[in-house]
Formats: sequence, C-alpha cells, structure tokens
Amino acid sequence: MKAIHLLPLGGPGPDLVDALPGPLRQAFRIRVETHAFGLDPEQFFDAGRGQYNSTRLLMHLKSHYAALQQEPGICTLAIVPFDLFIPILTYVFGEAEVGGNVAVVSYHRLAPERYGLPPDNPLLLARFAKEVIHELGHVFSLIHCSVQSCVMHSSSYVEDIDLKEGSFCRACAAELALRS
Amino acid sequence: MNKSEIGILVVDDELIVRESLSKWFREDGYRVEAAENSAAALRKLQAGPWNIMLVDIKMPGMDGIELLQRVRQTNKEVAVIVITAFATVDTAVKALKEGAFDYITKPIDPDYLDHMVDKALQQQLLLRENQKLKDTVSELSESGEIIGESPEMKKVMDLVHTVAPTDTTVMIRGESGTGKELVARAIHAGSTRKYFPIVTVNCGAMTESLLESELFGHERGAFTGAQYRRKGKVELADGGTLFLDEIGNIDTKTQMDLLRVIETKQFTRVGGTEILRSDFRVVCATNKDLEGAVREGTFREDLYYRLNVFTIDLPPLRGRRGDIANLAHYFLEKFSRQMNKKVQGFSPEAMQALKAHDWPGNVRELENAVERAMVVAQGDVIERSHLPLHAVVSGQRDGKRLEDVEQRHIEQVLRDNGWNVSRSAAVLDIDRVTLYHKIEKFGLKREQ
Repeated sequence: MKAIHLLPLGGPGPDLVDALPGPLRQAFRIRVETHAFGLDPEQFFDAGRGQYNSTRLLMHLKSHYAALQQEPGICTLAIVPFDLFIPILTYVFGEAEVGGNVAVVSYHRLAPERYGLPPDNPLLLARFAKEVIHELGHVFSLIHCSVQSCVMHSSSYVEDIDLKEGSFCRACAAELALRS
Repeated sequence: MNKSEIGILVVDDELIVRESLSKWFREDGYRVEAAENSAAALRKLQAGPWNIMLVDIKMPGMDGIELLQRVRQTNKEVAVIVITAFATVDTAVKALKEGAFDYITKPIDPDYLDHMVDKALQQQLLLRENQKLKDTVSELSESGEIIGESPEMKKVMDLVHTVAPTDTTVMIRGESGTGKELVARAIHAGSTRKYFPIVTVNCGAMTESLLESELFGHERGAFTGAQYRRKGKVELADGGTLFLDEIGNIDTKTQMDLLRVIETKQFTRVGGTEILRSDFRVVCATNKDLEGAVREGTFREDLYYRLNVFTIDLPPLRGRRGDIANLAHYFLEKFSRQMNKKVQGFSPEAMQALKAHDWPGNVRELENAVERAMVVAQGDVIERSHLPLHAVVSGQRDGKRLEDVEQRHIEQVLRDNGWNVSRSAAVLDIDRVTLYHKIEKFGLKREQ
C-alpha cells in the first residue's frame, strides 16, 4: 500500500477527520490524504432495522471509488456518522475487506453521551482512531489478536476499545511490516 | 490451540448470512467454511474435522434440527450452535434436547457470538481433557497383573468379565498368594464404578475394635487417642468398591455390623449418632472354609449368604502349572526393570525346577523366588542354584504325589507320540476325551 484515502461521508466533524492522519501515518508509515466523495448513504439504509448496511456500503465504495483510482496501492476508508450493521449481527463499529483495499468505520456508537455520560471529545477521538487503525489493519491482512492491549484485539463494546491501546503488539507489528 | 486449527462450519441457506459469519470468524483467525444446505454440510462434516457448527434452523429440505439429529448420530464432538430468527421456547428446547450446545437468535449480538464460541471451545477442551483423563485412569486401572493362559485362569477371567459390569457382590476364594486382590481390582476396573476408589480392608490384620473403627470411622473423642474425626473405609468407598480381604477372620460383633451396612448402606461412625450413607459394591475374599465356619457357628449364616452371591474360585499355582513359565518370565522382566539388571531368562534346569515345585505360597511365593534369584544371579541367566526352592518344606514331596507322577507320565507319552492325542490315549489305555480332560487339568502345552 502506498496511501490511505480518507472519505468523510454524511458530515463527520472536522476535528475527527483532522485527528486521524497523525496516528495513521505513525501506524502504517504511508501517505494519508482526505478526499471528498459524493454518495447518498440512504441507499444503504435498512428501514426494518433503522441501520445502514455496511457490507453493501463497502462493496459500493470498492466499485465506485477504489476501482477508479489511477494510482495503484490506494487503501480507501470511509468515515460515517450513522449506525452500521452486517445482516447477521446487531451492529458493527466498522467493517473491512481483509487483504483488500476498502474499509468503513462509524463513530455512531463511540461517543460517551450515547451511554448517558457527559461528552468527552478526547475519549471519542481516541476510540475513533483505534477503530480506524483496527479496520485498516484488516485491510493489511491482519486478523484479530489475542493480546488484550493490541489494537487488533477484537472489540464488541466501547469498553473493550478503551482497554486496548492505539498501537500494534510486537507480533502484529512484525506481521504488518511483512505485509506492507 | 492455534485459532487457525479450529474449524467453524456455517450452515445457512442465505448467502449474506454465510458470508457475514464467515468473514466475522475469519477476522478472528478461525478456519471457516460455509454450506448452503444440510446435505452440503454433511458432506463437509465427513470430509474434515470441525469444532463448531453454526446451523440455521429454517432451511429448505432438511432443516437445522434434522441436520443436528443426523450429526449427533455419527459425531458427538462437534459443538452445534443453532441459529433461529425467532427465539421460541419450543425451538430452543427441541434444539437443546437434540444435543445442540446452545441457540442464538438473529440478529446476533457480536459480543454474545464471540462469548458463545469461546464457551463452546472451552467445553470441548474440557471434554477432551476429561476423556483423556478417563482413558488414562482406565489404562492404569486395567493394567492389572493377572497373568495366565491356562484354561483354569481363562475360566476365572471369563467370570471376572461376566460379573464386573454388574453390581453383584462377589466372593473370591483361593489359597493365600493366588492373587485374590488382583482379581478384586480387575472386577472394580471392569465396573461402572471404576472412576471411584476401590478401598481395601484387611480384616485379618486387625483387632475387633480397630476393625470397627477402620470400617466405620470414628468421631473425635470416641476412644482414647481419637483426637480427630476420621472417615472409615465404608465412607471412603462411596461410589466405588469395598474390598474386604480375609473376610473369614472377622469377629461376630463386626459381622453383624457389616451385614447391616451391606444391606442398608447406612452406618454411624464409632462414637457418633449421625446416620451416614455410602453407595458401594462389596467384593470379599477368603482362604478359609466359610461353610465349615457357618456350621461351627463362628461365621454368621445370613452374612455368608449375603456375601456368597457370585463366587470365583482361584486355582492354586500347582493346579495350573502351565502358567508357571509365563509368570516366571513376567516377574523376571519386572525385576529386571526394577533392579536395572539384564537377566535374559532361566536355564532349562531352573525352569524345570520351577515347573516341578509345589508352590504352597502360590504366585506370591513364585514372585519372591524370582526376585531372590535376580538378586543373587551374576550372569544373564538364572540357574537352578539361584532359586530358593530347597528351603520349602513342601519341596520334599516334589514330584512324589500320585498326581505329579500322573502328569509327568502323560506329558512324556504325549511327547513320545508327537502330541498325537489318539495315539497317546491308546498308549495310556484311556479314551481321548479323558486324555483331553487330563491335558486341560494339568495345563499341559506342547513345547514350541
């Protein structure tokens, strides 16, 4: 991979997007760019569940953005504010094509106020950066890691995200170096 | 276990479900495959080992419950997690009754799914460990040292195999040293109680009060020196087997107590009032003439009948001479390992002496004789002079008894006639059936 393209969809706050390039460059050591991409997310909305289908969004991204890039080795990450699901699961924080070139992360469930707590922007940013690095790790063919503090450790709840760090464990870092 | 070695098979007719779950588990590093219907799932199940199956209940053709039933007929190990769109008690109960590990409703909470898969794998690991331990216990408990190819010992082993799986009380009779405790252990090892202890009480080695305390235990302060509460052998044998050795030696008071506990499975500790229960099987052994003791009034008739339900008579070693060579070699190997000596075998004279000896102390005496010979032997062969057989008083009548003469003579005639039974019977002037009986009785075997 040569670069990461960040595509903010559906109006995420600029502070969230602005906070990403630094940690991503540190984690993956490649170029990070933010791009605009016109997309109506309503086509992925499932009225029955009141959520957005992340798998369909991912496939759309692959065929309508990633496939059209002239430069090879571009990894695309969509950032969305709405709640994502994959059909069999109740929700997901994000989804990635393992070993592919697209990923999506939602910050819908990451804000403390969603759980009745006062707003905490640094905490939200930290959670968001960890989930973005996690999903991009999958794009780089990494699988879930058993090391609790590794960013590739699987997280189903925000508390799980808080427990891990924003960096790779030694084994995952070595694996990433091989894949890069 | 590495996650890539753990196989998860997703069975669902919906492509999106198969893909979503496969992707989810692949991100975790599991080996995942998917099947679009039950028939495809059964084919995949046959093709390779799977740890977990996630099965949708509603599928066209063979549904998830039927698939579960089919899987359970041939595969008890794979953990089946049933997926259902609507959690109804009926569906859940049915799935669990058919042997599902658990059920899960759509859409699945990701944390719940991970937790359930972890739980299923943990249980599988515990089951495997449990099975491994059971196998080890079985191996250890079945590694008894009952050696014997003679018809007499084969008959004994047939009886052991017949009675072992039942819960019947067994009385083992035989001279001292014939291996009564080994037979008791073989019965225990072949029973469903084998994962519980076999507790031995040597009734002949204790005084009346000591035996009572040994059997039933005692409360603190029950007698001088009883500083702590102590469980008795009856209590310790709960779930297992109580082996009462030398049962003919117990006094009349303990006979009465024993009869009561065998019949009611209830007892109280010495000095106690609490009625305790213990579920045990009784195997007893004696070398005494219990019928005579009953006639003389020294052994309770009711206890005799309670114990004498299934009898196994162990033949003395002189009654199964065909086993002497096997036993001697077995002990030779055993002591070679223990003493780290490389003794290869017995000289022909030594073996002849072993076979001719009367063995009043039976297998135990033979074992001791081989052990002693191993200690004194310098070379790699045990000679006649290494065997302590001269010290045995009964040795004086070695080969002098009519039975011994008869055995030797029959053996010689058989050898002279190349083990042709008809010719040998004609020489001996007896019919062939009688000769066969004699061969079986003396445990005669053609030398290789």
